Amino acid sequence: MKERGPIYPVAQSLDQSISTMVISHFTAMLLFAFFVSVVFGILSKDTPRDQLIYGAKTFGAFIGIALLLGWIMYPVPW
Amino acid sequence: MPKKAVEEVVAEKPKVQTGYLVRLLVAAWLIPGCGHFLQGRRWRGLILFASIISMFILGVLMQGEFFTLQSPSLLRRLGFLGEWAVGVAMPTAYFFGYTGGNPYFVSSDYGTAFLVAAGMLNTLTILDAYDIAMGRRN
Repeated sequence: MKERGPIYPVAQSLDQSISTMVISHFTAMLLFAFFVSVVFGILSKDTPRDQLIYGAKTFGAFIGIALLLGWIMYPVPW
Repeated sequence: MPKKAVEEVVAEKPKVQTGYLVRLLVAAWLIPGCGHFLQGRRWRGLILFASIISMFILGVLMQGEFFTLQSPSLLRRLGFLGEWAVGVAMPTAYFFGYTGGNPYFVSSDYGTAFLVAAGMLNTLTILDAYDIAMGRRN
């Protein structure tokens, strides 16, 4: 990993405040699914109603399929 | 469809100047959602901007890794292109001292997925802005 500080001194103090975030796999999946679903909904449909419905379906599919695959893989020993 | 009708449909399509199109696509690349915003789809552009930048910020907070072109792995070089697709957010993160995360951090893998996904979503957004400019989409 490269060790390099901020490019400009202006950013030096802000650099100190960069924090980190540790979240569970499930929370990461929820956040990921939410934002991707929002973008898919906006890009795929034209009216706000259709966008909302499509986004909700995509979000549900993300979570549902991930949980299903998780349970299917649960007994797999590797 | 008869030939005459096809010609009429083609004639109805708005003619877009190449210079405008290039500027629009560069703006859409640099700032996620900007391509939609500039074409009057303001709310759509703002929501796209908020979603893609949120994903990028979450990736940075989770210490996602910035890939480099010098990597021997093809996938990591593709990852470099994917991350740069997010636009001006990358140099901004560099400006504030983020040098590519810590690959040994517990959430780093999730963070890297968020960073690459943000770039990929911005690519889709750019293509959508292009379609709108060409009159293929509303």
